[in-house]
Formats: sequence, C-alpha cells, structure tokens
Amino acid sequence: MLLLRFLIVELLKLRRSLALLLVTTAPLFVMMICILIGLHDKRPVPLDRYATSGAAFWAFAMLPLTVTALSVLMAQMEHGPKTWDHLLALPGARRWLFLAKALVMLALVAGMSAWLYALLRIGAVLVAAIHPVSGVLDTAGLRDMLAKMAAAAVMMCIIQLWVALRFRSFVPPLILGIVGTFVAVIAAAAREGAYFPWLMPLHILSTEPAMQRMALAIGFAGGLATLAVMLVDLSRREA
Amino acid sequence: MTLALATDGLTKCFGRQAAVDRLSIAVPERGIYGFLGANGAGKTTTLRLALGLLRADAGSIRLFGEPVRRGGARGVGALIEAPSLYPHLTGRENLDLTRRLLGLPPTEIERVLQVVELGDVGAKRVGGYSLGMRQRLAIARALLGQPRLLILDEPTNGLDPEGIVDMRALLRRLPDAEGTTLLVSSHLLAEVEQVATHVGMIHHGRLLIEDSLPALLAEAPAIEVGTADPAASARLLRGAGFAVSDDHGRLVVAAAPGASEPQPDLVARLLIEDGQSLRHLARRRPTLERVYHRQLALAA
Repeated sequence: MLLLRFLIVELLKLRRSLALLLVTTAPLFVMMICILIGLHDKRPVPLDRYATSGAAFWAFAMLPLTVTALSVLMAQMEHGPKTWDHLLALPGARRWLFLAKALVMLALVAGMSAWLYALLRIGAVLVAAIHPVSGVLDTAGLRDMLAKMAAAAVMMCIIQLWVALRFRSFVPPLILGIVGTFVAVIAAAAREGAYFPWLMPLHILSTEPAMQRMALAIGFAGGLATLAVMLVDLSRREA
Repeated sequence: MTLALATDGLTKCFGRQAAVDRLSIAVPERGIYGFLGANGAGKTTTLRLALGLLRADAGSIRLFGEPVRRGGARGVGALIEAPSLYPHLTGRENLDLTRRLLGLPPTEIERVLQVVELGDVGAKRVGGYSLGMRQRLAIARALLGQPRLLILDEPTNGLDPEGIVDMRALLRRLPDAEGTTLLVSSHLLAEVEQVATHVGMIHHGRLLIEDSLPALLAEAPAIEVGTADPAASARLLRGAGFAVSDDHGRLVVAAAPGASEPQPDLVARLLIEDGQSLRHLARRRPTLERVYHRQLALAA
C-alpha cells in the first residue's frame, strides 16, 4: 500500500519536469536520425535495416546517455531542493521511497522503448511516403528487440540511479554514464567486455540466441539483484 | 506534566567531534519550546536525531512517551533548515504529494493553506514564491494530518522584516489553532523570546539551561545607569549600599539590601548631588540574550 502511494507520488513529481521532457524527446531524436540516414541514401531504403539501425543507435548510444541524464534529473529533483529530510522523516518511508524511484525509472525506460517503437513505425511510414523503400518493416521483431533491450538495461539503470541518489553532486553519475558509454565501445571488442553492464542492451542485437539470453540474464536478473543491494545501502544511510 | 519530546543523555558524534553531548531536554506538550544556541551548537543535529534521520551514539529520545525509531516518526511534522519544496510544482501540488504519502483526504490541503494564509497562491508554481511564502508552505506541509508535535528549524532564517513578523504571528497562532506543540530552534534569541513559552539553551552540544520563559526572565529588578565617569559613579553607589556591576560601560544597579526596588529616584539624586554627569537611567529589562550570556559565562 505504501509502495503504491510512493509510486503515484513519484509519477506526479514528473509533471512539468525535465525528466519527462527528456523521456519524450530522446526517442524522437533517434527517429529523426534514422529518417535522415534513410533519406540520404539514393537507393531504396531497406525497412529492415532502417529498423535495426534505429535499435542499434538506441542501444549503443542514446539509451545509455539518456539513462545517465534521466538518473541525474530524477535524483537532482530531490538533491536540488534538499527534500530528503522531509521524505525520510515520513513514517516507514525509506525502502519504499527508493524502490518507487527505481521502479519509476525502469518504467520510464520501458516507456521510452515503447515510444521509440511507435516513432520508428511512424518514421517508416514517413520514409515510405517520400522515398522509395524495399521490403517490409518487421514490427513484431522490432517490438521484441526493443522490449528485450529495455529488460537488458535494468542493471545499467539501477547502477546509474544508485550513484545519482548516493551523491548530492550530479558530477559522479554524469561521469559514470559518459565513461560507461564510451568504455562500452572498447569493451565490445574484448571477450571479457561481453559482461560489461552498458553492453547488455547491445547484445540483444546479436544473432546468437545464447548471447541474447546472457544479456537478459545479467542485465535483468543482475539488475534486480543490484536493486536489492541498492535498497539495503540507501535505506541504511543516514540522511 | 506531559512531555511531547524528551531526550536523555543524547549523544551524537561525527568523527571525534561530539555534535550533541549527553543532552537531556524536556519539551512540554501544547506550548512553544524555543531551542536556542549559536550556529553549530548542535540544534539541527538534535532535531534530526528526534526525527529519526540520524542514529544516536548514546542516550534515548521519546516522543509522547514512545521511543523514537529510525525511519520516521508518527504524529510529527517538521521543517528542517530550508523549505525543501519542488519548484516546478505548484503549492497545492507540493502539498498533495505529502498528503498522498500520509494517506490523508484532499480537504487537508485547503485546510493547511488557510492556516498559513496561502490559499490565494496555492495554484502558483513554488519557483515563483518568495522565501517567506516558501517557509509558510513548508510549515503548511508539516501541518498536514495535524501533527501533535511540529519541529521547526530556524523558521525565520533569511526572511525580511515583514516575513519575520508574519512568521511570528503564525507561530503564536499554531498551538491553539492546531492543538500542536511547537519546537522551534533558532539562534535569534530576541525573536524566540517573543513567542516561546519554554526555552532550552545549548552550547557545544550541551544543555546550558532549560526552564519556562517567565522563570528564565525572572531576575532581580535592576536599573541601568550611564554616566561620564562610570568608575566614580560605581564607587559612589556602592558606598551608598547598592550592588553595582559593569555591563559594557553601563552600570547595573540592583536594589540595596532590605529594599525590593533599586529606587531610581534615589540613585539619580545621589549621582547629581555628587556632580556626576548622568546620561542614561532606565529600568533594566531581563532578556534571553542576557540569560544566554550569563549561562555561557557560568559554563566557562
């Protein structure tokens, strides 16, 4: 019951917030890039490649960077006006507060994925209206891919949020997110790098089912385990 | 006497520094308790301990007889340090968040807005509020659910003179209007003197003195005398049997033995007949500031 109250409150806090603006615009940016790339090509645009490039751009760069910015904005919503004392002084608040924050963040990431799916479909229609295209858009495949990416991103999201909530300054989570995104570029080429949390959404693009399963196991299940540790850590800290 | 809040040997250290040192205070119910001390005296740390935001290293805290557990206290509203509000939300929306968390009916929002006289600006975004309005809105939020104890940490900090007057009026109204006990921390002694019913003073985390305001201000009647030559005047008055002390160049003249009043007419006549140049003569009003400094001197 208390969790439900916290969830509603966390959602209500998003009204007119920068976090909500970010969630709305980041997938829009991916769609625009995909359309521009498609239109730039003189040949007919293969719609399957259009969808895959959109998902790849999302998984490789926009998702981790958006998660970084989102975690910072959500945490600064409390750090900025120093609302922790008020929130943590409420009876029985601690664990539910942090759990609600994490769940809302994950819901926003899932929402962004759904919004990106819709936008890429709209983008495909727009591209087809003004440029020759080839093949058909595998909407079910795109939907599944983006859903799996969101699930595989859970661990990255929780780590980002944990750091953003733990430090009053926005610099540590920002550095973590930027470094994580760029280290992922290098890690992608190394065998050991396959387990790097920031790479999990990208592994969903792999043609090997085992790689996808590993990404989901580490990203999603590992993310839930990380969430549990985060809750213990943040709940025990003194305000 | 029922106590809203009582601490016993409360201690909190940060590293080797004791921010609160074996502090025992008793806040009586249905009054305004002024918790006074200089900046860094340990006031905010004590309040954070009372709210369960910090863990005590030793000692105990009881709220209405019940021990305080970490993770929030029921029946307590608080404003700690700054009015922490969401600037992108309106006043009503800010209150609505806490109302929902406390499981209160929506009518509570209008009720507390009326108490702090912000009903007409509740629909405006908090980002556009003055500091005084933010302070009042934060108090309104602390009043949600009619808490039995309201803890306000430096509620007049940063307010302009008009804001301070408004805040003072609000604080005076609250115990009767809301049936709540107020615990107000401040370093502004004169300000607290105007609203408090009880006072506790701390210094370096330790309690200096605690009593009701009338008891603290009940000192022997005295008059303040200023002359061109204070040393000569003091000699003269002491010779006449008055107890005289020096307070930053002003003579404080207490009643002569056997007299209930210091007899200002007699003091003035003695000085003038002696050829002293009398520049100032007034009844000395006891203040919390004097009590505080006297207690500091005793502690030293």
